[in-house]
Amino acid sequence: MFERRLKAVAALLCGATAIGLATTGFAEIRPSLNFAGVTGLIDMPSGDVQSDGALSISKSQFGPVGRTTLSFQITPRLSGSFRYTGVGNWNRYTNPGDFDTYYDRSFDLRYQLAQEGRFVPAVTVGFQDIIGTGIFAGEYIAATKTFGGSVKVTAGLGWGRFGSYGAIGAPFGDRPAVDFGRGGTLRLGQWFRGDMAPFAGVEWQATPKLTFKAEYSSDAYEFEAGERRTFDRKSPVNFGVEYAPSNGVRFGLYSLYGSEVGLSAQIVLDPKKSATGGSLGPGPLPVQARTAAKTWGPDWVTDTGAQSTMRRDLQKILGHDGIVVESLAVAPTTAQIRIRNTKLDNAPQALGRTARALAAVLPASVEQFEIVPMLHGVPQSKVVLQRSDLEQLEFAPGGDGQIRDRAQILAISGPAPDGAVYANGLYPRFSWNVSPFVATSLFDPENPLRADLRLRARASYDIAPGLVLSGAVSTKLFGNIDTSRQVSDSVLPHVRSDANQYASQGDPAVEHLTLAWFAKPAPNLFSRVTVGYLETMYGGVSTEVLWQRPDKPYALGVEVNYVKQRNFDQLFGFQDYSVVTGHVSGYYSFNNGFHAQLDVGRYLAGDVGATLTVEREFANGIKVGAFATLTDVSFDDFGEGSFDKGIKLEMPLAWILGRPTQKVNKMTLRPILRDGGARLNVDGRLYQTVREYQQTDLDAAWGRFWR
Amino acid sequence: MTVRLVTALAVAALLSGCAASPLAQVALNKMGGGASSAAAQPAKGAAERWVTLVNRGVKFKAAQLSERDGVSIWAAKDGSQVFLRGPMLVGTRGFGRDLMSADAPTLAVLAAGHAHQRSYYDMDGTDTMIRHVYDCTAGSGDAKDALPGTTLLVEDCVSDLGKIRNRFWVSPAGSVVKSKQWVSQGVGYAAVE
Repeated sequence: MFERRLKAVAALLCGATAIGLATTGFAEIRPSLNFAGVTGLIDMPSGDVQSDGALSISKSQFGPVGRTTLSFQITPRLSGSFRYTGVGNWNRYTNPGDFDTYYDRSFDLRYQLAQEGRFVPAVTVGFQDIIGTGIFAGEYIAATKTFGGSVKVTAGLGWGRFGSYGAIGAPFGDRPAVDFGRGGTLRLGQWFRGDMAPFAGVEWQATPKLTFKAEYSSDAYEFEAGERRTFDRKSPVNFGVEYAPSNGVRFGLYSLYGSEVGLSAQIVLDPKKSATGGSLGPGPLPVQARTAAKTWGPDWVTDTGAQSTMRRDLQKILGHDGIVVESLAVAPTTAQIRIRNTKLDNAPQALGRTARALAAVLPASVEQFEIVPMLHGVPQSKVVLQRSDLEQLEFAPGGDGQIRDRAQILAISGPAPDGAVYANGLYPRFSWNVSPFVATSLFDPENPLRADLRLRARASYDIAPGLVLSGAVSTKLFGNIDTSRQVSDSVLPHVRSDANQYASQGDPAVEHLTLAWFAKPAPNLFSRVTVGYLETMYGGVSTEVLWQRPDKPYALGVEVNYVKQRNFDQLFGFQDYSVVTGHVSGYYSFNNGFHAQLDVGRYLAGDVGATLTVEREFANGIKVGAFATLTDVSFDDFGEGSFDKGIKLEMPLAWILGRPTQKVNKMTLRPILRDGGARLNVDGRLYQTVREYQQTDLDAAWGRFWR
Repeated sequence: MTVRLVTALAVAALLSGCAASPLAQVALNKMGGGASSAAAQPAKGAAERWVTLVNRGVKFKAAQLSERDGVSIWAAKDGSQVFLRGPMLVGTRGFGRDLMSADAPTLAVLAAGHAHQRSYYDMDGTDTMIRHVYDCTAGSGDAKDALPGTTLLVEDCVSDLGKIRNRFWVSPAGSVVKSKQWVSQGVGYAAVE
């Protein structure tokens, strides 16, 4: 009897375990975004967070209120959002005939104070519109608890906008009025001051794809519904339904404030998950056994013919992966190969494939492989591998870590060893391509998104190792950037604020036309000199040196430029303005994926100051970061926004497609482009290219050595 | 530039449903077929096997590319590869979330019915290697699931990721006629015959 009971209990337990395992992943309610593009309900925030590193774009519209928001989960608990809001009907009753839509940018930060536990809700404190004009400013504390795997309940307290309806008091005193001046500065004195109001809501995930939401909003929309009468706020209750066709995509339909229909679209990307699951290209050449190594006769050491054939055989193999063998030097026990990776998006993968090709081609006595990645004719570092380690670890469990432990990454400079055989036809070499692209002009209050479709022809002529002549010309196919009537009101030299003049008059535009010389004067010292039309707005001379040791996570650079402002038509003429500009730059890779850069120096308008850039980098090449520049230009002289700041995003195409390509989508988003704190844009800055083959970056991407 | 990035984000988001997304499915279904740009090509007349990516419903031929240290590598026409140590799957290349390496038991350990551990190494989307350790038991499978003339050997494993079951159909001579083995969370099971 007892035994039967015991068996029944055991069976129940086993069943429960099995169900528990089987249902893992279904119990989770994915945190969704609200109309402000932050984790939340409909118009109210919640205590939830997105998964660490998640990057989202959302677009929402109800009545006259439209918002586009870019959010990033900076750390597991901290997130930031940049939002562009447009409110229509703005002057319908107050100043008829004046502009119709009010546009504004805002920036939020949120921090999760407590993660959800068995009895404890997730609690998040949030600050909305902290450095803009403050029209959308508000603070909140929101708590969210999951019940039964499909229901989430949120309750919160809000101040500012979130305390404007149904207030229950002002526990921390009155909210002081703040003169936001030129905008762009923190309004710490207002935080948690003034009326405090409760808000609440509930989400029910009926199926993995369908979620119903209802909430009570504490936002009175005092400006939009009150003062400006852009819509009629009849009720504090909002409800809606959301449909998520796939994990990262969600659409919603709502009723808001008893009078308006709302729509939203959300895209949430997790950089830690590859869009295609991983890399889809063909597998590598297997490591060949030494006993099966090709025989090259007794005199191969002195026979340059045999060595040339080895180089050709290597090129034949590596050409499949877009790897160019620049030179090969073979001694009885050591070989040095210099390669140019033109296709693979992952540096260790290029090293791994090169190592296997060497094992397939070189005589059995060659034990040590030195692989030297080259860029612009300059050796980036020297990766030393032992052939016997390749043979031993190709199939070893966790073999990537073991081969990394035995590999050496060393500094190098100078030409290939004596007796090296070189590829023919690398110098001089001409290459060109033509491709369309979209140029944009953002955040003009008259039209926040203008775009031109342009056609660009690029050409590059490699004269000798390190010496590159290159240029790009573009012409407009169609678009509306030239309809911009904005005139710069800057009191500084107009070093950037005439951007729309450049954008509308450059047809055709010589985007750049330069002669660049790259070199490595010492094993840890890289250099660059670029002369010509450096970028669309400036021409002149740009010089740079970078000190980088392969085994250090930091580097130091100095850049000095003398530039003259180009004519708006971007042909060959110059305007009167010229300046000496330059920076001392420090770079540091933290071992948690964060990267910092500090540039101190003189900017284009002659102002002196510093730029701090902090980026979170993923080994697959995705980067999300923010930067800010403070110089001796006063906030008043700078104008709207007070100082230069913005967001940077980089997304490799290989991550999206799963196929090897080195193309990267890059974006720098500034709320406003003005003349203070402006830097020269010159191609080929050293650090970003050099770092790829130094230890820190190689280690981060090393998992693909055996791919 | 912004337009390009938003498009890129949208495409990535659509694909991010991975096997569940139709777009990704189209991309993944191409695997196994198509022309190869691979440096490694099997010799003419090399032995061939059928590989099925069970969860994706894709079946293709793979020809033997090499054998060294007891591991044979089998390559499909498009260059994707399967690594087998004896009958044990210890690696894949080109399937997306590949099995990069594995610490697998021998068939003898399974046949003896010993409890054992095995490790799978795969990479997450940031190219960071992750080791998954499974606790496994082995035994005979249900006779009705055995292919004619074979016995079914079953390996049940559990880790914090969940349960997996590898199956081996063994001939009376002791060779594995067919197997269905776990690759990774992104790929699911692969059948080799």
